Amino acid sequence: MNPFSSGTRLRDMIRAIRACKTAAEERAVVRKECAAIRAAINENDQDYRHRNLAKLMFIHMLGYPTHFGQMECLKLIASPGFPEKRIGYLGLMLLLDERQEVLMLVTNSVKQDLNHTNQYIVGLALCALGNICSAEMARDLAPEVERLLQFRDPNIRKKAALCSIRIIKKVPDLAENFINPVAALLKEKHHGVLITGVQLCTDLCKVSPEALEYFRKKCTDGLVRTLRDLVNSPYAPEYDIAGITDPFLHIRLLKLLRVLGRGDADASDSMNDILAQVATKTESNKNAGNAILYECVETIMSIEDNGGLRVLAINILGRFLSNRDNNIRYVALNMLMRAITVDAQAVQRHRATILECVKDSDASIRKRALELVYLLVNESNVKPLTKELVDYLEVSDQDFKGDLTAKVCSIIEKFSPEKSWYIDQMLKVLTEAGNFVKDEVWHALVVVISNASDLHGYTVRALFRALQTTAEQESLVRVAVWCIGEYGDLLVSNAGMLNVEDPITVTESDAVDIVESAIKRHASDLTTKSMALIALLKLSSRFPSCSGRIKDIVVQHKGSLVLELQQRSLEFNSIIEKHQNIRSALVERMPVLDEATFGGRRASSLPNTVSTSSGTAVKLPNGVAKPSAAPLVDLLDLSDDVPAPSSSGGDFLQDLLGVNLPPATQSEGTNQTPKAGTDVLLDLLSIGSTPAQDNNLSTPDILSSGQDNKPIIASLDLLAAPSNMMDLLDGLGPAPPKPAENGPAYPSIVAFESSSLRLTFNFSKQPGNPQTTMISGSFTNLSSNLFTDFVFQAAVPKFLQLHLDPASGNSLPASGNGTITQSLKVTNSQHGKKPLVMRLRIAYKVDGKDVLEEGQINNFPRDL
Amino acid sequence: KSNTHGPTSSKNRWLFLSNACFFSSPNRTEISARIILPLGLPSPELGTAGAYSQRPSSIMIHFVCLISRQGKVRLTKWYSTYTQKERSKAIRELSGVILSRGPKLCNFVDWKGYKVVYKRYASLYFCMCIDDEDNELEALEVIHHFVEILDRYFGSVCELDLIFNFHKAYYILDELLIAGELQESSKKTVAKLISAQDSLVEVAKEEASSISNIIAQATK
Repeated sequence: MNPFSSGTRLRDMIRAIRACKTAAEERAVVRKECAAIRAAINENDQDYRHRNLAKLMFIHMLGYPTHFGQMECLKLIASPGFPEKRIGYLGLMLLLDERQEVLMLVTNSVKQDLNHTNQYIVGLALCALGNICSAEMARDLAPEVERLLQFRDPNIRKKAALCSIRIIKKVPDLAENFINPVAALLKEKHHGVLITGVQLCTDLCKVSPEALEYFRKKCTDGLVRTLRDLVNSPYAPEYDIAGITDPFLHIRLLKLLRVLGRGDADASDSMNDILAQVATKTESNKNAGNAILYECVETIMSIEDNGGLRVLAINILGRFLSNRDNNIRYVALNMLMRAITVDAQAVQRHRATILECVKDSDASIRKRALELVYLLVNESNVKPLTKELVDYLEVSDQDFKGDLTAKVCSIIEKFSPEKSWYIDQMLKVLTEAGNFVKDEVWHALVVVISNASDLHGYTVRALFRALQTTAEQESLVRVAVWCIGEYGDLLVSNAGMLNVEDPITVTESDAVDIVESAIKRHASDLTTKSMALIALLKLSSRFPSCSGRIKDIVVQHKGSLVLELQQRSLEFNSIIEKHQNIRSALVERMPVLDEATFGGRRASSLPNTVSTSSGTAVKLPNGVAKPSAAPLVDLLDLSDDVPAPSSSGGDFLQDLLGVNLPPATQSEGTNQTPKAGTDVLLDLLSIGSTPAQDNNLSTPDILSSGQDNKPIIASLDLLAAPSNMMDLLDGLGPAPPKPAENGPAYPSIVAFESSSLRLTFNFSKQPGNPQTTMISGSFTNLSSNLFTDFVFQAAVPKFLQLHLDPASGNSLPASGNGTITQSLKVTNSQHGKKPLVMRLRIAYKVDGKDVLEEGQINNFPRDL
Repeated sequence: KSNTHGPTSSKNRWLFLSNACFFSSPNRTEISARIILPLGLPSPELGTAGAYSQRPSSIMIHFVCLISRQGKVRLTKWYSTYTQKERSKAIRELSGVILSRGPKLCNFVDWKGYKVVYKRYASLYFCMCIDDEDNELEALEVIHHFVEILDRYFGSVCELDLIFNFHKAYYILDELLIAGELQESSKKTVAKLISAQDSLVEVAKEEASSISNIIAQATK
């Protein structure tokens, strides 16, 4: 006997661990036990092997490493007795998962156990296989499992059926072997076998179209009969839950019927009666009944249309929605979200109730309700809905405000009927929850304001008022400061007064006061302070009488520890002091920001929106793919963490700057490649050469944003020497266009080819930018059917950056009679070291059926 | 806090960009990154893409866990593939979310594009992670079914029973669920199967002890 072997029983060990008062104590006990177990393993101790494994499992559950016990599981499984095998298989399932190599070693033991004479041992092996088998094991053992589907004992048959589910999920090719045995299971009376058989059948139909076709033809009627018998069966104590006989079986049958009925009018027809019966007869006062109703509604909504049934289903959802039970309301919201594609009108009817759910005290319900409301918005109801949501913004929980603000902003941007409404609503949001507004949202607002020339006065006055009442919301302060800087004169003169607004008297020094307070606010961050400095500079020209005071404020920052502020302060000071002759020209109003690129892209969603107002039921009410919209927003949030200079954030910045650079230069600039510094500076300054702008004007505008943009700082350096600056700026005429060089030519490739679709890529490079490849892809339809709703998705690894332009269309005519072209831009940060690689996903519809194709492109020319 | 992103721990990330206009987020001028696929796990983002469309074959229950009110894990069973790291992270996150929820709220929380259905029985929270589109109410029934079987087996079960006889709880769960799917809807059948196997173990023990008795006596 080894000296470490404490010989404690499992129970004693658990007791000892539970008695520990601190984590350190617990670790000590566990360490001691583990040492003893290791010693026992080394000695190949037989007597306590199963006890040791049980201890290890407990230790594993506490979160300690237990990999050293994995081989013990195999030894126990290989031993002859049932008790050893039982604990061995349990350990196998707990301590290992399908990725461990060790698992392969157990295949043979499992195979023997599957053929064991003791049915309980067969059951253990099936259970383990069903829970953790890998694709290799699935291939090796599928014949055994298939045979066990006909085993004499029903309890083995049901285990084999579930095990088969795992097998066909791991290796879908094996599906066809299971079709016949499963058809037999569906006729059984034993509930366990029936439940598992129906489940297996459902999964078979999902992986294999042949199986679906087969079961639809042969089994639909039988399944309908089974369900009818079940619904009408007398009280059966063994299966009864809340007065319903075996709700689990109900649910599984309904699920399978859904799969069979979807897309097939005949099959759908044959199940109409029983669905109507379930929908009307099921008791809805207990959870079990509601679970069945849930499944029934899903099935009705999925199978081919039968008007009467759908009304029934929508009514059930309406009842769910007004239920007092939170669970049921949550479920109702979820289901309405899916029902919206089927019957948007019916869902709209519940709008008021759904809106109430946005204000629920339960975060889960709020979140779902908000997503649903978002889907319900359209041109006709956007105003009242937005009002409700904005009002609620005021009182909502802090942790919900982020989600709510994002959704509200998105709704406002997408559906705003007119600019004044858009500006009004955005101001409200900024006032209530400005701290939750994302940068690109207020950037967009600034663009819109700058374009609405008749509203400049109104906007700046409204912002002034808002800022007077609340100065806590960062993005409100920024927008207000920007507008006061630009349109400060309108603020004081009350020009462009609208009928709806009350006149206010603002003196010039009031305007300066409020900007000054923005600088002095402790909470203001660098961006806000920088913007405020610019605003002050602008005001110094607009309000000559305040010039001296502004100079004093600006000068206060000359000792700022933040380089950006210090620099601005010094430069602006010298502009105010020494260059009064050019100051007014220098700080003239910003040229109208280019809304075209921004607006053009936003408009891309409009055609859909318009088409929906004609009111076809299947069309989505607001032109957004329903369920994807919600997760999408979250996904986009994610992308914020990923540095993606060429993505929208950067572009907005560029838009704000009024920089009209060709895309290649943009990415060069934002990539901050060191060598690009001077070029970019030239380019940045050369924007002045566009007709609308004046050279001198643009400089401070560049300064007004983006302190983390190196080139801009570079330009600041230039400004630091004011005397040189003039010369420099004057010297910069329009930058001479670089002579167009032809980059190296690359052969075209067939990037993707399937039986129905071919995608070819042509490559080109912009001269002087070897990292970036312009790809022009063209899709050709090789089949004889029209592809509609064509969606192309591409993915690249992290070292690449991908930019997709909108495709030329979303339907692809049959037999190569037309193409969709798609341009992509890939920037390879590891140019010369790693070749391009890309994954594709292409989704489209053929005859209303969804098709998804995926592939990976590895045959890019090497040096792209 | 709940958060609907897919697990992001996998090293090999692919960012999918799409050209489809209806995918584009309204507040961005550009179509931007959308899908981060965790390798080896079904992607919930894709699953929800089409409302009533054919969804990829999915498992019903991804994992089951029992967490005590103090946040201690009493049982975990994983039917989808997760690494050890992902497992402990999942449990940590979920216990944070679930234990802090008030008593009158609904029994579902969104978690990384999945749904976790939980129910509290005395000091224990029974949790099941299911797909976003699966039937939450049914999952609640499955949980209750499990609890009733435990209750019958242990005779008004309490947390201590499950601590000291954790392996028995696993055996029962294995008779109830395989591959994340329900195996048996009859409590009686489960009880029968478990007791049959328990008695097999008893018989083996007795034999062992009787043999050792015989040997002991023989060597006296």
